[in-house]
Amino acid sequence: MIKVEIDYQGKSIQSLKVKGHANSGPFGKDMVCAATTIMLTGAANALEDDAENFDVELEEGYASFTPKGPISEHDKVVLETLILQLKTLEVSPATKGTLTIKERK
Amino acid sequence: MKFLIKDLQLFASKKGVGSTKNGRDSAGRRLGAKAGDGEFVSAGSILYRQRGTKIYPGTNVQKGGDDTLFATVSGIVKFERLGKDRKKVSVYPTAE
Repeated sequence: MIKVEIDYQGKSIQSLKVKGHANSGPFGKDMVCAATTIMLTGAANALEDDAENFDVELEEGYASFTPKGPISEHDKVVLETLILQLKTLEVSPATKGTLTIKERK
Repeated sequence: MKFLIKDLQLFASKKGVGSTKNGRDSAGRRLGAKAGDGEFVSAGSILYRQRGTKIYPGTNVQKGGDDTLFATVSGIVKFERLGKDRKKVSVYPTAE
């Protein structure tokens, strides 16, 4: 199971971490894993000033987005979209049980 | 674009299953009775192949080095009780 942990400070995102394995199919055919990989990679590319404002890690079985300071409205939308996509995986019948999200306010 | 997808399976479980070191076994040793109760056997015939003494040697029967039981005379095979919970095999010559 993929575990997503989102820490908030007030309303802003302090960190978003993704760990684990979807196990929704054999290696090479794990569609939930592929979907998660694409969403995270797309979000990383969509961040407008990731170099200065974010620590981004994308590795096997682990990804993290950690803002270094206040982030632009654009990047807020990018992260909110990413979270919404991950939540969609979490609740959809076809992918239920492969991903969980824990939000800490 | 800074991040490219090198592996679509970043969050998939481990890559392929390694080979196993098991999967070997020796051929069956065909142990057990080689002559039935009441059967006529000639001297030297093997009666029972075993590991250890599941069956003990009785009258006119001897035990070989690998615990095999064999007849020392020609005659009829008899599987009998030995004490409370053990068994033995004997060979009784037939009246000529």
